[in-house]
Order: sequence, then structure tokens, then C-alpha cells
Amino acid sequence: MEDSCDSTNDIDKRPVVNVFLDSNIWIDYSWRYHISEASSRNGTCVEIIGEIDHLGENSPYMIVFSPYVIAEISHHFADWFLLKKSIANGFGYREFSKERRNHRLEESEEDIINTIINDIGTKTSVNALDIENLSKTEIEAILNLRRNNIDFYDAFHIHIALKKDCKFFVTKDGELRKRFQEILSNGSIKNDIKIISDKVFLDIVKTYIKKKGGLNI
Amino acid sequence: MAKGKKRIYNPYTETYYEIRIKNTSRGKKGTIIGSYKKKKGR
Repeated sequence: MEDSCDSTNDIDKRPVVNVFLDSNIWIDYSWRYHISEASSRNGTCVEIIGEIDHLGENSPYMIVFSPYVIAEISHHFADWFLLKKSIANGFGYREFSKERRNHRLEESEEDIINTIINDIGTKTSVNALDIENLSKTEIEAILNLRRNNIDFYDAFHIHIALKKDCKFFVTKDGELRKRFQEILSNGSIKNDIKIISDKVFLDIVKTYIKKKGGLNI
Repeated sequence: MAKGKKRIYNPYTETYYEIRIKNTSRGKKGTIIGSYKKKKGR
């Protein structure tokens, strides 16, 4: 029987900063790491994951990985595989939203998506979350983000980041950074969270590694 | 399901991921420890 309260003595006792990596960071990383040629394994997102992975159990950053991120990553790669089938059958990109339902993923394609999810969810510095029931208040908070022109997936991601007390929300999406920053600036969200780009976060991680101290919050 | 283990379902790949959740000195941490396909219905 699995013990849910194991004490893990070899894990560093310094405080851990929760970080939310938007799905676009994981998608960029996964493209380069699992789909493209090995020579493409570079870029900011690959570097971020690589540096934090390298820190292992000494990493001061714990990356929150929610079921909604799993859904968005899977959606992205499933669409990629289905789009290729649709185009091979003579349909154009604009017809894809209707045509996609006529195709199914092959087992090998499902395996690639599962490999991507398993790769992320087994990392030492990744905290894979279970699905939790959402309360009425939480659903209202998510809908309120939608009313502020935050996309549905992003609204879920922001909600989880706030719920898990993340200090950084890292995204490549400049429009999302702008919109969420406006919400933070108007004071309707009290959490101490910064929304930053992948490049800024990589600088923060590199500075930490260089100094080996201070969490650069 | 054993205590400390959860599973989440991915409808895109019809796969369950099994997550082990441990209380560590750094707080609760979940790790995917395996995955298996949903059994196909007849």
C-alpha cells in the first residue's frame, strides 16, 4: 500500500517557489524535444526546463502541472496529427474544424502524446496535480477572467496558478501577459504573482544558479 | 486505488495517468508514475 505521508529526507529544506509554466512553454519544449530532430533541442523553453531539471531536488522552483495543461498540450498535438490527415485527404486549413471529426488518432500518435505527458509529469521539479472539484466561487472566478478577455484554457491556468500560490506565471503569450497584468494592476486579485515571459524567467533561473542563493522573487 | 495515488483521464488519448502524491518537507508533490489505456468497450 502506498504511503501518502512519506518523509523525504534528501529533499532540500529551503522554501520552494511555485511556478506556473503556461502550456505554450511545454508545447515549445515538447516540439523541440519529442517531435523535431535532436538538433532542434535549443531555445528558451528547452533551456528553462533543462536548467530546472538539472537542479533536481535542489531546485527552489516547483513547477505546477495541472490537468488543464495536460488537456491543452494533448489538444495541440492531437490537432497537429489530425490536421496532417485532413490535408492529406485534400481539405484545406479552413475546413479543418469540420473535417477533424472524420479522423481519429492512430495508436502511435496517442503514444507520442502520452510520452510527452509522462516526460513532463515524472520530472523531479514538477508537481503533477490531481483534478479537484471546482466550487461555485472558483467557477465564478474563472468566468470573471473570461469576462476580462482571457481565453478559456488560460482562465483555468491562471485560476490554478493563483490557487497554488504561484509567484510566477510564465508565458510566451504577450497578449495574455498584457491582459493579466491589467487585472493585477486594477487590484481585483490580491495574490503576490508576477506574469513574465520565458526569457525573463530564464534570466531569473540563471541568476539563481550563478549566485546559488536568493529566489529572485 | 491505493492511498496517496490518484488518476486523471486524458480523453484525447483515452489514457489514464496514475499520479502518486507524497507529502514531502517541501509540501505535497504529485508525480506521474504510469499510464494505461482505457479498455475499449465491446
